[in-house]
Amino acid sequence: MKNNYISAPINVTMKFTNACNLRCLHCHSKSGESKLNMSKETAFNIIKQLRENKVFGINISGGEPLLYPYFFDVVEYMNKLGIRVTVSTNAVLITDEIAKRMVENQIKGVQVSLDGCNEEIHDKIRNVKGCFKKTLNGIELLKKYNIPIMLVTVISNQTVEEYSNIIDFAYKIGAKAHKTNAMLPIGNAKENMNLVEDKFLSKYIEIWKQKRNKYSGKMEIKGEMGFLMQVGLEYYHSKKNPNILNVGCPAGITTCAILENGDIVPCSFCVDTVCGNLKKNNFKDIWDNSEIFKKIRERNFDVCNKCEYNKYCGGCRVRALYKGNLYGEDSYCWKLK
Amino acid sequence: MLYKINKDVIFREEMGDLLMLSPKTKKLLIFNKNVANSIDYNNNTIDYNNDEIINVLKREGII
Repeated sequence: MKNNYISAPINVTMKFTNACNLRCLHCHSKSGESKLNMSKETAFNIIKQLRENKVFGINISGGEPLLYPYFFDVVEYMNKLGIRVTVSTNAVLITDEIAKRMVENQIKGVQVSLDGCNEEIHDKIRNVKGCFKKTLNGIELLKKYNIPIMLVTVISNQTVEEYSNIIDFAYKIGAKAHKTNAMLPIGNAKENMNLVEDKFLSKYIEIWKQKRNKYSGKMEIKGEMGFLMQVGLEYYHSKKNPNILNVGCPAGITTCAILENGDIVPCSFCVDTVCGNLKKNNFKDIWDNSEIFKKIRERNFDVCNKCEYNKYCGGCRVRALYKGNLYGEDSYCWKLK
Repeated sequence: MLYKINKDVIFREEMGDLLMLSPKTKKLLIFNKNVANSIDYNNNTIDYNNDEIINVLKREGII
């Protein structure tokens, strides 16, 4: 499918550190077990390459990005090069000084993870006592400096009762958006949690749709692609969208992720599928020539390749891999339910 | 009219669309192939006459 190849990603997720102050039961990258940091020199080299290839945005993820010793060095450098910068954080470490520096460095948005509206549920899933209160404090500081906040909730059987409340809470605290992430069977989640059962999933989807109507025009109700692929095609495909926004799963097509060791993977959740390493090859070489990227862009996946919506969807590769084959079917897709 | 594109603007053409990142707001703007065809990549210029589009490009600091 030649149409699915573009010269470079639109956005890239960069993980500069695997260190983390929390021990989330569903962490896809098992963050916190090691404390590997990308060197400043490597980080700058990669950012420079992304700019040369006209990548528009970088989302700094982790691990906890604020534990990276060169966090503001890389943010300043990205800004200097004109790149749009966003950050995914648990917000626990945000101080007044950090929030102020985020504004000064034009960070355009912060994604904050929240799995419950009370400390009992949130702290249990995040696996560190007291982190709920610290996260709320961080959110208040982001609000103080008018930094756009998107609250992110990973759906799991543990939070089904809280899910509706969290979205209302996001509106109450002035979040610009709330995003729902599917719980993907990788990292800690593979060991600690069961995938959401169908009877609960349908409840989540029902609530998500209700909130989407309720907050229309007030707060954006979003879904990460893996979740939207469980909801229905109309929620991630529109004929009104430009072609480039109608590819469904963006992994290896409009996005990819770079890990703290220099590995390039198709998306930030597909952490075990290494397409190349930036310490050995340059970015453009890997983007153009990785066999994994090429095969993903062909969209010749089991079951999907017979689907009329393949071009606009492609299924979730992380879930396919969970069933044993990266290029296999995504059995959690809305159409197979 | 011929306009010079700000040297700090990240832009490229992909799948028939023109993608531009506003240096002011950091919004990603996506234009159709009519606008994409009016770009001279060698000289970083845009030759386009639609007032509505030109006003957006000026407002976002692209030209």
